[in-house]
Amino acid sequence: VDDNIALAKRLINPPDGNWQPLLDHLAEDIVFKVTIPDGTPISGEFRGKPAVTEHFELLPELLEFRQERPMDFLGAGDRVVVLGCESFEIKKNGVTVTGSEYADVLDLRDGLITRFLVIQDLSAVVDAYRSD
Amino acid sequence: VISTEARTTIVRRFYELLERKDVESWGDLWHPSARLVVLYPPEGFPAAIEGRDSIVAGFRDLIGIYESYASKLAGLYPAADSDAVCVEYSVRASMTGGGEYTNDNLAVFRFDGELIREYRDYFDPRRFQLVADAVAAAA
Repeated sequence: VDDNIALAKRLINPPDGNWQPLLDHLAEDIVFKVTIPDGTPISGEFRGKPAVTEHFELLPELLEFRQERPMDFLGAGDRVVVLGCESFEIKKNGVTVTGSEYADVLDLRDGLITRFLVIQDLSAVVDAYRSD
Repeated sequence: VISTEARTTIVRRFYELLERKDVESWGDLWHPSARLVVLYPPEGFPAAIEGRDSIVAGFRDLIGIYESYASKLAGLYPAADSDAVCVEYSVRASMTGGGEYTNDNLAVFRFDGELIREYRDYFDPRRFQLVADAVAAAA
């Protein structure tokens, strides 16, 4: 558990903002999902390392995140739950949302992430893409 | 810190009692100074409910608008390094005024002895608006 928490801390909150270590630790059969309705570029379920990697590479063009407080990491076996609060700017309309609480659920297998679930209020993102 | 088994038993009972709409017994699981954090409060909802009595009163109103309420626990993870228990669960509820509420949640419980000290629930607030509107209409 301690190893998984240490790994999650290193991958989820890289001090230099570099997501490559996270991408290097995606399992080939990774499933990534954000709880947001259909109709936005981040909606739906992304399956497989290539799809999730592409999603993460596209993300900076859509949203810019900034953590508002240190994350809380809770470990249980092969699973780590990350609780945090961040602000994010929606590039499409320039709207910035502050104080956005979120929970990430990471399932790990042999040091690789097999499931990445994000539960967060992303209503503002839905609003931004509603008129498209 | 109570045992992992005791914590998971309390959390399972939390959802069982909600399904039975037994809010009074459910209230016994909470510490008198407990805090329920409403992470994404709909309009008219507070950002937190302080104290067992207020939590029970709030849920009495909430559960009253459900014709039926079911929560399916997809995963229950007692943290190894703290007293927290995380629960992934899905909700399916029929509203007394018609309509169905569904959501996929992650709840985090923290304890004071054998009582729940803090409860935080992460979910899609857009879906919950249906419930918030029903509570407001019933008030």
